[in-house]
Amino acid sequence: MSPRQSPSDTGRLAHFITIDGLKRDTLVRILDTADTFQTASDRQVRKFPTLRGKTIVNLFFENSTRTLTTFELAATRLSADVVNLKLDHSSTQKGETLLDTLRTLEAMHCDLFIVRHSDSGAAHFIASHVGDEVSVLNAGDGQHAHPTQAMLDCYTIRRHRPDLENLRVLIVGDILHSRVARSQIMALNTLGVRSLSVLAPPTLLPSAIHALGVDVADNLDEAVVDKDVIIMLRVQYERMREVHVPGPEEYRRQYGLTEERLARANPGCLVMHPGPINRQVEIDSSVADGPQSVILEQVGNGVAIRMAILSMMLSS
Amino acid sequence: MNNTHLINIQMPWSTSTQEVLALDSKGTVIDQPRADSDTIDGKGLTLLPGMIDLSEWLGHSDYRPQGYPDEELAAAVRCGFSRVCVAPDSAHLSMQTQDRDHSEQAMPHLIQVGEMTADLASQTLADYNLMAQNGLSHLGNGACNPDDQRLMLSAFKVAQANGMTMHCMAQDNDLSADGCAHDGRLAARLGLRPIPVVAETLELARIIALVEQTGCSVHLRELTSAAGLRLVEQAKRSGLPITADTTMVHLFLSEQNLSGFNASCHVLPPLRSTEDRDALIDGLKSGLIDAISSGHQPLNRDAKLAPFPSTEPGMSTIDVFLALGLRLVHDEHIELARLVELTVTQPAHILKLDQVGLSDGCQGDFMLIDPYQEWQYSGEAGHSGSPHSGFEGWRFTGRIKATWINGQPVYQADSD
Repeated sequence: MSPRQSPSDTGRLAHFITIDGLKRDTLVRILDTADTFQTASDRQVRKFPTLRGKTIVNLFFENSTRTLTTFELAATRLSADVVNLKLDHSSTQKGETLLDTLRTLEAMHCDLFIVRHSDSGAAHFIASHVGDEVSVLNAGDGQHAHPTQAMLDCYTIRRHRPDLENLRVLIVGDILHSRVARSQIMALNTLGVRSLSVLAPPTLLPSAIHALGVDVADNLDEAVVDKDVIIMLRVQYERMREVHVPGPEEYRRQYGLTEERLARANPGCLVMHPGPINRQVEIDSSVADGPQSVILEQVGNGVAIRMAILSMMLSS
Repeated sequence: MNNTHLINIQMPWSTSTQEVLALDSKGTVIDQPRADSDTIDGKGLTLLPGMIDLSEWLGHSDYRPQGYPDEELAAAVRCGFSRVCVAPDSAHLSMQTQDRDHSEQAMPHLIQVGEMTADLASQTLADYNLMAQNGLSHLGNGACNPDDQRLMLSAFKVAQANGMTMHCMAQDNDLSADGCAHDGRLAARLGLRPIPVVAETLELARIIALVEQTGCSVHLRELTSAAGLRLVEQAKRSGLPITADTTMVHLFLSEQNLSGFNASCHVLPPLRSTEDRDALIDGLKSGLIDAISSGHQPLNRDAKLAPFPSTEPGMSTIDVFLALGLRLVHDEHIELARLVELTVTQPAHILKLDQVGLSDGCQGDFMLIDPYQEWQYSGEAGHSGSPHSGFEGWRFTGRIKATWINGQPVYQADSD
């Protein structure tokens, strides 16, 4: 049974597991809500009573510092009670063990699980097995989805370029293993950008990439031309054993974003990266720290977008 | 009652002219009934021989349902299977099963597949000569053929010398390692670790080259792809001693069924594209595919209680196997006679079994079906103890009413 995540009549999101299947209106509403929180934060209003009395559990089966921190911060700023559970994936087994953990937490009247797991579909599985009164938010599952990261990326883009429908976007890097890329592709397509292209080493591109609704480029020097946004992805050298990943020098030569390459893009082209960065591999320091980079802003926007999504899931 | 049954059958779909089936007191089919025979009226029903499953049963899993294997084998009989193959790592289980007193539950005939390599460890060959002396004529290595080329070459040579047939899955171990879905649209969308078609074609090419070199007979199990079928076609055209089957699962389901992380459809080899599925159906029509196997992998509830990649691959299929076969007939992909070939005659030929069928001298293994009865499948209500199936809720036309093994009635639908 698939969990329902589309908004109810009241606009409440039951779950937030994937961008796939969500309508443009819903995504726009998330971005608009994030705007209100961001604006308030800019006025030094840091705490909101929105989720007072609600209990949120960060259920992290995979190590994470940045994502966990931003979720914790977002929930705290909405006045929710927050519990962080770091569970060892290897100690959870098929069968009742994982479900037992969930039911124990449910029995404590938790309202929302924020789940990070190394298996694709983990958040979906958990959402299918919790009670109706509990919501599930996907904080990254295997290679499937990282929808809040995609939304904060879209939010960052929109703050600089509200005319999303005019934008030409390029995503460069390990698409095959990237849950961020999958969610970005779905979010940007749903929001209706003018064009969306990907470029990756052939070993790091899914065979059926066209099914995701993107164009595939094969030369970065040409692909950057006319682009308004370039999103670079991290080279995951820990994947070297399962597929061939070009070495650092080879990678930079073919797929690295240098100042020279960025100069071929449209003036003011935004440079983005979900982090952490391999400097001088997928992106040169002069670009990552340069005037067109919004990488640090992405991190900052993570709290506002997560506050928006949490409030849309839990507020009455 | 003189232990002789006469069944007067109308066979509306069959091209056979046989309208009666008679058995002697040993349960063997005979040409003419005795005058004092008991009779069973099969009016409106269709008589089919018991089916033979080339999928390997009783293989090891930590997630077998309660009562396994006896209750699952008994379920196979109720689902129309009179013979099933037994996985090479399960000789002890099949011997225990055969030794047990089954006065309560009828069992299908078990056909043991021997070990290609000792303990299936892919290190050294098993004792083929001893197995041949013990009457085994089929060998396999479970789901994984040895990577070692010299070992594979030796295995095929020795098997050929002993007149044995190799039963091989065609999945390259490296390319399918840790994979859980076809390398296609759904894997790309859901971020599932893919198994490319080349995992099948690469292993097929290796097996075919070994057959060409050694002359060893090979049965290729559970093919999934159009590209794989093209290799089989070339090999058969070259006159190589090769046969091939696919499963009923791969004939009806595709990667699309994984949508929403549907773990019931997590099977290996994986469900491939709709184009591949259509090519398999064409293969049934053209004769390129010799048999349909069940792909039955009974699993308990816990097996699927995990995120998709961590679930145990496999689904229960025996309850719907015949109904799906009849759907192939209803949908005019094949004739009923061809369905019998694919599920009885050809598997018997591959397994070198004689006395299979409904003709004089055959063992009395058969079933009566109502070809027009409509019903809806529910895993919880099925004969199999495994609730996991990609066919949950499907509606079918055609259902088994009764089955016989060795001429003895072992199941009647109404008695359930």
